Amino acid sequence: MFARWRYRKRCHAAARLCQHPNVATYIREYAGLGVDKLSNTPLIAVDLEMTGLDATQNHIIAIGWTQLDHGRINLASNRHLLINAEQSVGHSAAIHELTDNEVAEGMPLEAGLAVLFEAARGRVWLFHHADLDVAFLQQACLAWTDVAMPFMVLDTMCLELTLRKRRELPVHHGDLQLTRLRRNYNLPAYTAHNALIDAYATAELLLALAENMDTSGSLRLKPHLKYY
Amino acid sequence: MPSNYHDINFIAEFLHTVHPFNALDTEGLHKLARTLQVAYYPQGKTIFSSKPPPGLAIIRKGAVRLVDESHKFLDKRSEGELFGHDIYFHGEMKDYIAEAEEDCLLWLMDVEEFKALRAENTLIGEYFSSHLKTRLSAATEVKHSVTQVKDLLKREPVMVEGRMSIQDVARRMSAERVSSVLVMCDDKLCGIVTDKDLRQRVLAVGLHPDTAIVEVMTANPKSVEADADVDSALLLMMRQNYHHLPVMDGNQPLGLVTAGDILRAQSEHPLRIVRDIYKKNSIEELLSLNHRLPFLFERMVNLGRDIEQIGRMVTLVTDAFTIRLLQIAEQSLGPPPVPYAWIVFGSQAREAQTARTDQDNGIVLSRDASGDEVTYFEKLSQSVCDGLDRLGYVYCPGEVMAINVKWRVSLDKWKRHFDRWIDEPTPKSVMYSSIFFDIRCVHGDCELVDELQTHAITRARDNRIFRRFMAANVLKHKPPLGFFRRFVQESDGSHSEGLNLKHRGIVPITGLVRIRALEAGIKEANTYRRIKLATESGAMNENDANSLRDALRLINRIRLNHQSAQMMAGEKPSNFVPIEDLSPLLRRNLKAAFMLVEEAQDAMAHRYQVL
Repeated sequence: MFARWRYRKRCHAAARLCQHPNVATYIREYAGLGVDKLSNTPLIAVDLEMTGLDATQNHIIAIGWTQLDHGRINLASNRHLLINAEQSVGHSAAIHELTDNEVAEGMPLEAGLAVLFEAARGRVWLFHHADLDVAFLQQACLAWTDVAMPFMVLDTMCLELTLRKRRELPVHHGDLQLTRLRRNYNLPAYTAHNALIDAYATAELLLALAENMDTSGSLRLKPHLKYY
Repeated sequence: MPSNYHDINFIAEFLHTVHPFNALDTEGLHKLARTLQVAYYPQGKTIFSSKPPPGLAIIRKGAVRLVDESHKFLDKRSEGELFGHDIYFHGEMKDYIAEAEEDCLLWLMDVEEFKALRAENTLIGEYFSSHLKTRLSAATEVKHSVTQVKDLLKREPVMVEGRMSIQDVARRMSAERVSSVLVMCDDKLCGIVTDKDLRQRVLAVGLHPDTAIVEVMTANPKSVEADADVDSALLLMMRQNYHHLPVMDGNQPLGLVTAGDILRAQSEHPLRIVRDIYKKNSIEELLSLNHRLPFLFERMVNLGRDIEQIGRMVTLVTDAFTIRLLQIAEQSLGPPPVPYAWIVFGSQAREAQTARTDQDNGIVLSRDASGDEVTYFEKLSQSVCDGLDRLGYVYCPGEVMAINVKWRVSLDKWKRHFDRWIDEPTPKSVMYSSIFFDIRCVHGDCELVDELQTHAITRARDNRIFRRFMAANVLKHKPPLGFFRRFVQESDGSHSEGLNLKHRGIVPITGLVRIRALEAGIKEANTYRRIKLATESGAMNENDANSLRDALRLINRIRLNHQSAQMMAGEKPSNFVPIEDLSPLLRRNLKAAFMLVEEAQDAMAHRYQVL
C-alpha cells in the first residue's frame, strides 16, 4: 500500500521535471493506472541486450518486447529493435551474437526508447529479473529526459520465488534462470539471448506461473508488483 | 508502427512444421503468425466447450483430449497438431469439448481470421473442408502412369459367328491376316480361336473342316475391360497361361491384346523376369537371376504402380520360382505317383509379399502315400524348399514347410488338422489358423485345395466360438497410437525405436479382414480382394471396407518405400520405419490410418464380445 502511494508521488514529481512532453504524459498516466487481475490488466514483456552488466558504463544494444492483453500474448505486437550503441559490443557479442556492424545499423537509443515507451503506454512492465533491465532503462531515460522514469513491474523471477516460498521448496543457484524455469514448466525450448525471444519467453512463463499460483485462472497482480 | 522479419520469424519457423501451413511461403507464414494469440492451459482444464468451436488452435506444446458431450474420448492431439475447427471423427463431424491433457501452450486464431485465411489460400481452405478419410485417400493416390489396355489395341477385332465352319473361319483369318478370332453366339462373345487351336484341335486330330467352329473354340474365355490397366491384364495372362485376351466394353468386344503387345509396350517390364524364370533349367541357372531382384523391386515401387499390384507382382515372381523348382524336381524324379497340390500360406498366399521373406508351404496329397510314394514327396519337398532357401526365401522358422512331414499329408488329414483347430481352439491352434486360413494353390491339382478350403471355411463359418478366439487373437495387436504421443515427447534429438508397420498395422488389418472373410465363407486369400468380396456379400459395409483398404494401402506404401530404399542400399529390408524418416504429412496420415484400424478393432471386439 505504502509502496504504491510512494510510486504515485514519484510519478507526479517525475512528470513535472521530465524534459520530454510525451514521456511526461506516459508517466502521468502511470500514476493513475489501475491494476487488477492478469485477465484484465494489459502488460508488456520486455528484454534488453546490453554490452555489459553496469548501467552506468555499458549500453543497450537491442530491445525486444511483446504485449499481453486479456491474459494472452498478442504475437502481432512482437518487436525487436537494434540500438546503435556508441560503445563496442566487445566480449558481449559471444552472448547475444550481435556484432558491431549489426549494432551500427540500429537506431539511436532515444528513438528506440520513444517506440518502446509508446508500446508500453498504460501497461504494467514485465521482466525476468527486472533489476538489471530497469536500471538500464532508467539510466537511458535519465540521459534523455532528465528524469528516471518510475517503473511498476511484474517480475517472473520474483513470482517463482514467492511460489517456492509458499510451497516451502528450496532455491539453489541457477534455479531461477529463465531457460531452466521454462523447462520446469514444460515450455518449449527457444534460442536464448535474443531480446525479443527472451521477452516472449518471459511472457509465456508468466502465463504458466499465473496458472500455478492461482488455479482459478486469473491471478491478482497487485500483491506481486514491484516499484522502481 | 514498422516491423521487420525478425519480429516474427521464430514463430513462423514453428508454423512451417505444421501441416497444412507448411504449404505457405515465408510471407504467408509471417502474416499468419501475426494473427495469433498465445494462451496457456494447465493440465485438466477445459479449453473450450462451445459450439461452434471458437476458431483454430495450434498446439505449440502439450497435448489435448477431444471428447464429446458425454465425455467419451474422440481423439488426442499433440504438439504441432490442430483443433478448434470442424473435425470429422471417423468420418462424422461432431461437436466436441477440448481439454488439456497436459499443460498446454496454444497459438489461437479467432473465427474471423480463420475464415479469412481459408478464403485467401485455396490449399488451406481445401484442407479444412475435407475430412480425414478424404485426406487419407488422397495420400494413397498413386501416379497413374499405368497405361490402360485399350491403349494397346491396334485394330478392330475379327469376329465370326459360332455356326461358321472351321474352314470358313480359317479363310477369314488368312484374309484378315490375324492369328486369332473372337467367336460370337447371339451377339455375345462365347469363345476364342487361335492358330494354335486350329493346329492342335483340328489338323492334329483330323477333324472335318465343315465342323462348326464352336466345337473347337476355347469357350467362355477370360476377358478384360477396356479401362483395365495393363498390369492386371498381364497378370491374368501369366497366371492362366493365356496368350490372347479379349478386351471388352461391357458386352461388346473392342479387340484383342497379346502378352507380346504388352511386353513390347513396356520393354523394361519388371515381369519379364517371370518369363526368364521359366527358361531356366536348374537351380544354378535360377540363381543367376537373383541379382536382378533388388532392382526389379525398386522399379516396381518407383513406378508408382497401384500398391495392391506391387504385392501381386512380387508374389508372382515367388510363385514362378516355386513352380519352376517343382517342374525341375518333377523332371528329375519322374511324374508324381499320387496327385498332389503345392500350397502356400501367409503373405505368399495373400499375394502381399514385399521383399523376399520366409517360405511357408505344404503339400496336399489326394490320398495317403505309402512306401516309395513317401520317398518321392520327401525328395520333391527337399529339393524345392532347399532351392527356395538358396534363392533367398529362407526356411520358415516355424517349420511350416513341405519338408516337415506334418504339412505333407493327404486331403483327409488336412481336413482333420482344420477340424481340430476349429473345434478345440487353443492359443497354438488359433496361431495355426491365422497362418493356414490364408492358403493358395500354386501348382498341381488345385481342386484338392478347393475342397479343403470349402471344408475348413464351412466349419469355421458355423463355429462362432472359434471365430471369437480368432477375434481375440487379432485384437492383441493394437495399432500404435500411443507411439505418436511418445514420439512427440522424444523430439529433443533422441531417436525413437521405429514403428513396426507389419505387426502394428498390417497384421491387425489382415486379421480383421480374415475373420470377415470367414464369416462370409470367402476362399480368397488376398486381403484387398477379401475386402471387395466381403463388401459384395454384405459381410462388411462399404464405409468400413473403404477405411480398411485405404489404411492398408497407406501402411503398405510407406513400408514398401522404406524397404525399397533399404534394398537399394544393400541392407536387409525391415518392417521397422523410424518415424523421423516420415514427413509431418505422412506421419499425420499414418496416425489417421491407425485410428481407422483401431475403430475397426473396436467394432470387432463389440461383435464378438471380446473385451
